[in-house]
Amino acid sequence: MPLSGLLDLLRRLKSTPPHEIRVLLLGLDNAGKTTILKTLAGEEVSKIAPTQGFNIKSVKQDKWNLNVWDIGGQRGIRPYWKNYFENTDVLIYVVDSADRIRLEETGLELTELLEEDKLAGIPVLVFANKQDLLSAAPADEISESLNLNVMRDRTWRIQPCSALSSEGLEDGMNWVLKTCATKPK
Amino acid sequence: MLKWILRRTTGKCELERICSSYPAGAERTRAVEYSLSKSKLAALKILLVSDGLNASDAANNIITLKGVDITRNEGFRPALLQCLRHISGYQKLVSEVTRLQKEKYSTAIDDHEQQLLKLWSLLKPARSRKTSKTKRVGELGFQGNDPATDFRGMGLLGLQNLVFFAENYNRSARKVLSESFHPKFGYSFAVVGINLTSLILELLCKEQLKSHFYNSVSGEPSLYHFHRVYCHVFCEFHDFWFAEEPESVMEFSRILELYKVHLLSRLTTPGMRLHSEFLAD
Repeated sequence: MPLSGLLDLLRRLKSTPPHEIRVLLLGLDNAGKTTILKTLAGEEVSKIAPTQGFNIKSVKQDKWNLNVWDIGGQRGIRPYWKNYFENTDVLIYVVDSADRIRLEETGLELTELLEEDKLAGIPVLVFANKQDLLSAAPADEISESLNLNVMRDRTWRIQPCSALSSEGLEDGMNWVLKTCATKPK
Repeated sequence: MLKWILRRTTGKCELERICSSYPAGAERTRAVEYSLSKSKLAALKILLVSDGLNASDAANNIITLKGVDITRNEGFRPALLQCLRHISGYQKLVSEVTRLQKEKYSTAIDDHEQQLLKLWSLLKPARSRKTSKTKRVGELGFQGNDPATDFRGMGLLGLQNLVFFAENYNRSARKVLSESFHPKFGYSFAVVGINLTSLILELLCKEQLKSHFYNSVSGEPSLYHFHRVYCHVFCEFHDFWFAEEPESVMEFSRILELYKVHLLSRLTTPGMRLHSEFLAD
């Protein structure tokens, strides 16, 4: 690359405004989506009520501006999930690792999501939440139950975490940012 | 300096002047509260943070400390006492409500399960007691099969709010529940109820229910009064929701935010008190 081209590129990089990333937070009710959202935004998490509808927050991280959409996970609300697919950069799917009874149900919901055209090729981060609970299934068990290992059509990662203690959240979000940074827009 | 001059010329201390110049209610109580918070006497300041405050003892203490001659100003002690009752009641209410909020709902505790069953039989009296739990919680507008996960951060407070509503204003509660199944504007009754608990808990902790309580309760505001505000807010929000004709339940956060602005604009007016059948004496 000629020198002038390089300088040009550097100048352009410097002046780019913060990158907007649209993050869609989905999962069954009581998975911990709102707690994750609030922890990311640095808010208190001891007084959370179930989400009727959705919440949205902008979270700033370095030069990134994450617009996080947290949609209620109640069965009656799940049909509305598709209204929020458009322009999604990353899907974060939250699983209550201690709710073994609904592990199959959450797997089915995820499978359906991954078949959606509007989410085709979108990177997926699975938060295996509630690792602070003794009864929590380890991440590899959840990964197997969700059939993540056979997924070939997108980048994905599973991240064990505890939204309450915030452990694991940063690692997960760093993966999100790195994935978005390398993805052609 | 100004206080000193006033004290010399009127022969009254600041608290006496407040009690004689403000009408009973929020204006007077809040002025007393403010005066105590600015007091140089630690013994007076501490009244505002002590949890087990006895209003009558505190009134006597203030009269002694300030050297008030109550034979010359007969109205002072009762007026001051009422302010102190307001103040101590509100403090106790905040700690009691917070204690209930922190108590997690548990299916393993029989008393919790009984309260839930009571809620169901109050709201669905015609249904058989043999109906399965899964069905019951669905009919009350919980999300899943286990209501414990829905009470979440609101704990037992959320359940007690609902039970009070169903028990004391049964007809209104059943009407709201049945309308919450509206094909177009429907919502999940219990889930919305728990969100409204969260709303009034926030208002209480931010001292935004003070004007209402100080203007409408003559003694100590208590859990009973808090429950009544809940019933008022539930019915008012319900009407507000229908009047907004929401596209779907996904509009809940937006409409709740609108309602909150509407409610707050009234709560912050000094002479205000909320009015409805739920708050009538």
